[in-house]
Amino acid sequence: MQEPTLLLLTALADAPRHGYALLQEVATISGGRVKMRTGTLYGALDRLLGQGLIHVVGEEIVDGRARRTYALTHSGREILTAEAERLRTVAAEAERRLSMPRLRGAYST
Amino acid sequence: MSDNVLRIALRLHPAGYRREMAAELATVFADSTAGAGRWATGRELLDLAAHGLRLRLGLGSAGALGRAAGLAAPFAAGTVAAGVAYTLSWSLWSRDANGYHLAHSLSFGGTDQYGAIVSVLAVLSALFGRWTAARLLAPVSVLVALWTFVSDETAYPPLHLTAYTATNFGPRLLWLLILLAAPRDLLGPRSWRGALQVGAGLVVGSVLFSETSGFWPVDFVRPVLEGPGFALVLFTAELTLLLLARSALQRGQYGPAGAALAGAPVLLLVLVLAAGQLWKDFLPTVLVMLGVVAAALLAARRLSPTVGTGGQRPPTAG
Repeated sequence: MQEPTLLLLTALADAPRHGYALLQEVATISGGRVKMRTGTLYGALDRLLGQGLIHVVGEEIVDGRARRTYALTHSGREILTAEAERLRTVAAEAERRLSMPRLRGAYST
Repeated sequence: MSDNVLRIALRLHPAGYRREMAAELATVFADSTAGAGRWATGRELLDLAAHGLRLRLGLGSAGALGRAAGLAAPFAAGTVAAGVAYTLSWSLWSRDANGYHLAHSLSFGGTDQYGAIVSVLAVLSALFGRWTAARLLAPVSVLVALWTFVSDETAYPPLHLTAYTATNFGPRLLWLLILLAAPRDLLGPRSWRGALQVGAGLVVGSVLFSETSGFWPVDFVRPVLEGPGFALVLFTAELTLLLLARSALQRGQYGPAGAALAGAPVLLLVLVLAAGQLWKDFLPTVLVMLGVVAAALLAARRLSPTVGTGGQRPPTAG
């Protein structure tokens, strides 16, 4: 899974959000490392909508501004759960190995 | 400036999409650029315009072709840089009875040297995941290389020069288009995998451009394979990728389609190479050329119903 996809799905994991809120959440989750732009965001949202991983749960006009709210679908939640589990497994293994005493010449015979 | 330019950027989107989404895109754009400087606003506008153009051309990241371009783009960034480096280095060398030597001094300031610097910056941007910079710099470097190439070949008649330029620059322009066509959200930030793909493009591009153009300032690195035999190897590899791509796409896997797209300009390169060999190895060359034409027809027939439509695929969350 590409990082922008992971960040977007993660941003929607706890609550439905509209476009600008997603941009802010992605920046926050990535610690400011990933700054998504409007066109890139909507390209990704189009793809995730097409894949059935997210859906539109509300359309409203706030202060004269169009706002559509996006949320994870059941399928999106499953895929994010699986990706989080995969990342957790890798991270746990990395931490376990880092905590072990370093072997000298482990590759020599 | 931004209201008028924003309208233009929105108008680049297909009419149906614009009717449904323009107000929301404008809202998010306004929020994103509130208090931002002209440079940041310009980059937002460029990103929005690129999104519209991609949708209009069927290259959105929801479609199979856009996703294949996303996979092929890092490799294409490397081959574009290799092509520019090759052309610019070629303008520095000339050959006489004693072999290759520098045609002019390397004193700083020539157009070709500025082009080389832009090309290096473009490939470094790609290596570090700075795709906006890479995709702004790469076309500039290709244009400089094209200008250098055309300026060096003024002895040819116009029609001959046009054909010569088209055959030389056709493959690298195709790779440039792949780089530009890739949806930004599929390129991701800096990663080892992306950097390796850019590096692979550099290496493969260098070998292809050098071998197919018969220019080797250093003789001992000249590959054994050349002429129709080399063309046949390239052709077979690309054909295999194209055949694999169709069945993989049906399973919702985009990797082989990305590899096939990254290698597609090789077909044009093979055609150019084979045409150049026609006078000395007629039968194998004709066989290779027939094979290339058959592969192109087959690819067009097999890939167009699936790749071109951007149809629905099982979710893989690229």
